[in-house]
Amino acid sequence: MSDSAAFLSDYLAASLRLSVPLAFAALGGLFSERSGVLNIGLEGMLLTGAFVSAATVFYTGSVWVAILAALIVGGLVGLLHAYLCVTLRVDQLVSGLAINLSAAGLTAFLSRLVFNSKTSQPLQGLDAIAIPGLSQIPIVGSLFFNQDPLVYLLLLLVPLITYLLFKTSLGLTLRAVGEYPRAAETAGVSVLFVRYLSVMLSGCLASLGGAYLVLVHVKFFMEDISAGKGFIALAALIFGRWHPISTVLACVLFGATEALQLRIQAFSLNIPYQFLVMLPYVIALFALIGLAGKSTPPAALGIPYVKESLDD
Amino acid sequence: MKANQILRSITPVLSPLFAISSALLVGAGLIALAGVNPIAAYSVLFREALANYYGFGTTLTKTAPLLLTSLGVFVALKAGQFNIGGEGQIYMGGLGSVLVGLYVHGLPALIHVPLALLSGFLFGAIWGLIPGYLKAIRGINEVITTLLLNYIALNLINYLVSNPLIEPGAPSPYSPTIATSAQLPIILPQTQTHAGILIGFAATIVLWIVFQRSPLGYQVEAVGQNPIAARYAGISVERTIMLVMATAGGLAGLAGAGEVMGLKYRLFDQFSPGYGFDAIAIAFLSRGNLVGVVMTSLFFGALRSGANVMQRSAGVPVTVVYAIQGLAVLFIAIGLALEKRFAIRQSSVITSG
Amino acid sequence: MRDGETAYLRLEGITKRFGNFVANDSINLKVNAGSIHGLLGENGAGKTTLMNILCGLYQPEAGQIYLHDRAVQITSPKVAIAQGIGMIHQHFMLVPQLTVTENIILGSPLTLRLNLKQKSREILVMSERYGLSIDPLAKVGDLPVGTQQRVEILKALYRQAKVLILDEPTAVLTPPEVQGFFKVLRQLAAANHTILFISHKLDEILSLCDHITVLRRGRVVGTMIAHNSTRQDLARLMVGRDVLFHLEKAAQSSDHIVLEVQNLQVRDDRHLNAVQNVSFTLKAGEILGVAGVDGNGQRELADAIAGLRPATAGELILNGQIITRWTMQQRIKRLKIGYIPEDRQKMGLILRFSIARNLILKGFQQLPFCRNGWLQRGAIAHHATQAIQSFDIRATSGKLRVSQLSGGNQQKVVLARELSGDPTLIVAMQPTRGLDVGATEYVQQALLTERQRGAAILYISTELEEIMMMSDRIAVLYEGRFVAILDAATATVEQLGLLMAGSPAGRLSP
Repeated sequence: MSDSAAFLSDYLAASLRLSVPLAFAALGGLFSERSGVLNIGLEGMLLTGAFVSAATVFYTGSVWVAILAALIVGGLVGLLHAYLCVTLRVDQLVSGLAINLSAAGLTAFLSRLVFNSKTSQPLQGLDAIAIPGLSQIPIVGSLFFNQDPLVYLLLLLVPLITYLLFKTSLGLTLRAVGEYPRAAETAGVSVLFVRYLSVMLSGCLASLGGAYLVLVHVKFFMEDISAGKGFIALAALIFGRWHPISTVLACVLFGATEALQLRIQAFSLNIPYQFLVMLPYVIALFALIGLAGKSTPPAALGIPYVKESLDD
Repeated sequence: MKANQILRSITPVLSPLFAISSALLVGAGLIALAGVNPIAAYSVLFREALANYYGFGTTLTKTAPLLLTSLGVFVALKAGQFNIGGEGQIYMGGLGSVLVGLYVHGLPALIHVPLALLSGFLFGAIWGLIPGYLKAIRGINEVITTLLLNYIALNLINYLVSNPLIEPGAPSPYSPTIATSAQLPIILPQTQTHAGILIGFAATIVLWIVFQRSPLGYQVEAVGQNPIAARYAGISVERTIMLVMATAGGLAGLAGAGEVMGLKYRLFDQFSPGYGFDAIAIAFLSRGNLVGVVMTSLFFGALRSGANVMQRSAGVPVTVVYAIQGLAVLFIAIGLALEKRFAIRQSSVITSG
Repeated sequence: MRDGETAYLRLEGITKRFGNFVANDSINLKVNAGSIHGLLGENGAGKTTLMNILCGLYQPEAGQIYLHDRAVQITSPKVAIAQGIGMIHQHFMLVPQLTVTENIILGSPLTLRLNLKQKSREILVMSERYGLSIDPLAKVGDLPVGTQQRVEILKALYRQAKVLILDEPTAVLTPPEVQGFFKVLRQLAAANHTILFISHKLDEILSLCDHITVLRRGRVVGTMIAHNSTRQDLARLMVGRDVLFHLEKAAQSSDHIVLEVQNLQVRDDRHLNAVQNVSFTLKAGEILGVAGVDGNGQRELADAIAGLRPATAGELILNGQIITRWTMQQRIKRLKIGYIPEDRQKMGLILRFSIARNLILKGFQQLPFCRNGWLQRGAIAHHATQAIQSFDIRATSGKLRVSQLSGGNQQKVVLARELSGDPTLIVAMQPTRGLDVGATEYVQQALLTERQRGAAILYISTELEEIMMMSDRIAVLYEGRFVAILDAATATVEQLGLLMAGSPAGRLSP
C-alpha cells in the first residue's frame, strides 16, 4: 500500500521537477506575448541560461552566482529580441528563429571550449531544502515542501504574477498594450517601454528555466540539452490561454508525460522508449489541435507597433 | 534618383553578403578564442571546400540536401508560411525512400530510382501537409506544429531503425542496404558526390519557371502578400497553403531520400546533422531570390565540408560553423529591418490622409 | 471673435511635414472657452494631423501652441492629458477586451491596488452628471458603437479635460442619435469646456458650431462665423471651386431584371444572422443605394452576392439563373460581377504587386492572361497600358508598384479591374471612402457611366448625401433587414434618417 503511495509521491515530485524549466520559460513567454511580442526564441533563451549557468558554476563553483549570471545574460538576450522586434520592427518570428539558431550554434561552440573533455564530471548543483514540519505531510509534503529554492520561487511566482496581471494597474497597462497598443499610447502609456521590459523579463525567466535544467536536473551541459522544451512551453502558453495558472498547469501536464517515460519500466508495458520520448510532443500537438479557435491570443500579438504613421 | 534605383536593386544582394561577412568576422573572433589563427583556419576551410577536387565534391554532396530543403522553406515562405519542419520532413523522406529501396524488388534502376524518390517526396509531403492543413483549416500557427513534428519524426525513425528496420547484428541503429537498383549514381568519379545535387538544380529550375511564368506561382505569391485580397479575388487561400506546405515537405523529403539513396545507401539514425535548420537560415539569407538560395546553399555546404578539415588540421571545433550560420541569420534580420526603414524614408509616397 | 476675449486655445504657425509632404502649413487657430469650433476640410486636408499634434502623437516642425496664453510643448499624449486636452478619436481608442472602467482608468498614475469597485462607482456618478449613461462593468467590445463613443468622451472627462477634440464623431451615429449627441456637446460647452469639432459634413458643422475654420491642402483658407455662412460658401472654400450638389442623371429606362434576391439570410463571423429575409430586385441600368449605419449587415449582404459568404437561406438569381449555391470561383469564371470592396488596401489590392499584376488578380487563370497554363506577359502588359489610359491612372507604367500610388489612383486600379469587361452587376461597398473630392467625383462618374451602359449597381454607403445623389432607388438596411425601399427622387433626409435608426415610420410591411 505504501509502495504505491511512495511511487505516486515520487512520480508527482518528478513531474513537478520536469515541468519547472517549462514553467519558467512559459511564464517568460507569457509576459512577452501579453505585451504583444511573439517570443519563439524561448528555446534559445532557455539554452543560453543552461549554458551560462553551467559555465559559471564550472568556473566559480557557486550556484547562486551561476543563477545570477543566467538571469543577466537571459535579460540581455531578451533585450536583443526587444531591440529587433520593437525598435527595428523585424518580423517577430524571424527574430525568434535567429536567436534560436545563434544560441544553438554559440552554446555548442563555446561549450566545447569550456568543458572540453570534462563533460562527464557532474557540476555543482542545487539541493533540496526541506521545510520542517510541512514536509512530513504524506504525498503533498515532499511534493511542495521538500524542493529546491527555485521550485519554491516558481510556486510563489504563479500567484504573484496572476495578481499582478489582473489586480494591479501595471497588469492592466500590460494587457492593454498587448490588445490595443495605440489606445494605450493615447492614454499616456509608453508602449515601447512596456514591451522592452516584458521581453527582457521573458529572457530572464526562460534563462532561469535553463539554469534549473542544468543545476538541479541533469547537472551537466551538452549540446541541445533543451531538446525543444522552449517550444513545448509555447504550446503550454496557448493551451493555458495566456493565463499564468492554467499555463503552469499545462506545463505540469507535459512534465508528467516526460516523467511517465522515465518510469514506464515500472508498469512492465512493452512500449518502446522512443514512443514515450515522443509523448510530450504528441500531447502538445493534440493540445493545440483540440484548442484551435478557442484560445485567443492578445489581439496585437505579432504586429509591430509603429508610433507615428500617416494612415490614422 | 538613378543612384537610388541602383541601390535599391543591389541591396537584396548586398545585405546577405554583408550579413555573412559580419558573421564570418564574429566567427573569426570565436576561432581566435579557441586559440587558433582565424586567417589560417578560414584559408584551410575555403581552400579545402572549393579549390580541391575531392573537397569540392564533398561540398556538392553536402549542398544537395541543403538546397532541396531550402527550396522547400523558400516555397513556403512565398505563401507567407514558416516551414520549420524541414528536419522532420527530411527524416520522413529518408524513410519513404528506404522502404521502396528495401521492400520493392525486381525493378530496373530506371524505374526503381524514380519510384524511391517519389516515395521520399510523398512521405515528406505528408509531413508537411499535416501542419499545412492545421494552419489552413484550423488556424493553428505552423511554426509550433512543424517544430513539434520534427521531434516526433526523429523519434519515429529512431525507433524504426532500432527495431523493425534494423540490419541484423548491427552495433548501432541502421537499416540494411537498399537494393543496388535504387541507388543514385555517382556523378564525380572517385568521390561520394551523387546525383542528388542534380535533382536539386532541376528542382530550382522548375521552381523558377513556376514563379516566373505560371499562374500557380502568381497565386502563391498573391496569398503570401495579401491573403485577404486573394480571397476577395476568388483564390482559395486554404488550398494554396496546403499545397505549398505539402510541396515544401516533399522537397525536404527528396533531400532525405537523396541522403539515403546516394550517400549512405542505408537509413541511419540521426542521419541529418541539422540540415533542416540550416535550410531556414539559407532561405532567409536568400531574400526570396532563387539564385540566392543556390549560392547560399553552396556557401553553407562549403562551410560544412571544410569544417571537418578545419577541425582536423587547425583544431577548431566544427561547431563554430553552426555559430556562424546562426549569427548570419541574426544579422540578415537586422539588415532586413534597416532596409525597410531606409526604403520608407526614400520613396515618395503620396497617400491621402 | 470679439476683441478683448482671450482665446483659450491658440495655434500659431503650426507646420508638420512627412518627408516631402506638407500635411499642415502655417496653421493659425483661435478657440474660445465655452464655444464649439468646427474644423472643416475634405479627406487629406490635414485635419487629423493637426489634431494628432494637439494630443501629442505628432510633433510639429514649426509653430507654437498656447493654452490660456501660456506657451506649451505637447511632447507626448501624457503631456497632452496633463494639459487638459482630451481627444475623442474617429476610431475609438478603447480596448475591446477590457471593461468600461478599466478603459477609463488606463494610463492613470500607477497604483498597487486597482480598486475597481470604487472606481466604477465614481465613473457611474460622473456619467450621470454629464448625461452619458453607461454600465461601468460592461466589456467595451460588447457595447454598441454609440455607447462606446460615450465611453470615449467619459475617458477624456475623467482626466479633467478642458479641451475636447472630436474627430468625425458622427460617422457611427444615426441622424436622430446625432441630435442627442449635439445636445450633450452644447451642455459641455455651456459648462465652459472648449470644443473642437472636426468633420467633412457641412450641414452638421453649420448647425452645431459657433465658428468654423476651413482647411484645404494643409492650409487655413478661411475662418468664419457659422450663422453668417452658407453651404455653398463652405463647400467652395473646402474644395476651391464650385461643387455640384446634384449630379445629372438620365432617367432609368430598362425593365430587364438583372438581379433578384429572395428572402436572403446570411450569418456573420460570430454566427449571428446579419442579413435577415432581404428581398429586392435590381434592373439593368439602375442604381440601388443601400443606406444604413455601418454594422447593420452591409458587409454580409455584399459578400453573399459576390460569393464570399454562403447564404443560409433564400435565393440569388442573376439574369434568370439561380446562383445561390455557386462558389466564388464559379461566379468569377462564368458571371460578370464587379465587386468594389470597402478597404482597397486590405481587400482590393496587393500593395507590393505592380499595377499590371493587380489588374489580373481575378483573371490570371483565364484567357487572355493565361494560355495553355502559361501567363501571357505581353497580354498582361498591354492590358495594363490600356487600363492606365482609360481610367486616367496617374502612373508612368504598369510595372509601378501599387503601393506607390495615391489613394485615388489605387481606387482607379480597383475600378479598372472590376469595371473592365462590362460587368452585368456591380457591387460597390463604400467606394469613395477616404478619397478626396476629385477622386470621389471620378468614381461616381465612372459608376454613372456604367449605369448608362446598362449595368445594375448595388451602391452601399454610409454617406447619406452620396446615396441620395447617386441612386435611383434607396433601400435602408437596419439590423439586417430592408426596412424600406424608397424612390430616391422623393425621399428626404429626415425620412431616411428615421428609418436608419429603426423608427417604424414609412417601413415596409414585414
